[in-house]
Amino acid sequence: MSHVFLMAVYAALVSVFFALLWRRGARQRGKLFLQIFLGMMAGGLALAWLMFLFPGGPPPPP
Amino acid sequence: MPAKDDTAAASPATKVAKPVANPYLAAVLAWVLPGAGHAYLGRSARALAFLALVLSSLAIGCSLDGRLAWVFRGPPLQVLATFGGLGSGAPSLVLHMAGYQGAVEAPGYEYGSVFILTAGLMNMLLVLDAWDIASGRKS
Repeated sequence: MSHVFLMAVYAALVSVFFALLWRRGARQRGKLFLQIFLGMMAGGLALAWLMFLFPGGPPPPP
Repeated sequence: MPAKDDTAAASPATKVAKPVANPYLAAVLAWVLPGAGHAYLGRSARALAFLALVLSSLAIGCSLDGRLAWVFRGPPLQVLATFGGLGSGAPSLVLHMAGYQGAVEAPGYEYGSVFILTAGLMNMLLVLDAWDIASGRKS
């Protein structure tokens, strides 16, 4: 199961939702969809790389 | 000839929104079934779209074995998650009555829980939107 794929699906769902809720017209909705979708994807990837700097969690089993 | 309506000259700050429908009914319908509030207000296409979005999020969450929280007394975050999940109305109640809980050992548990919670939160926004439209604050 790809985490990035799940993140993309989630971002797409949320982006479509807010585009429909907050905008009128296909052009404006499309613009808001892209803004939110790309923002969520980029933000998620940025946070993922940021967390890479802080390795943690339990040690692997012997 | 009727007198000119003085409210036409009123400033925007003094204009009162005129309800176009019963906002309480719109909000309750919106909560019970995602999109029903908008359907009641005559926005059928948007109602169907919102229904599809909320149910999709719920379905994806369930397919990942995410958690449908049902804690009314206990850790505050779990209580919040419960009310968040209940935001999707009848679908979440049906899931609970069918015995769905999620599976903590499933690999998609956390992701599924987020999808289920998001479905509820999205529907809460739809309730507020239906209220605003019905009360005339939003076109």
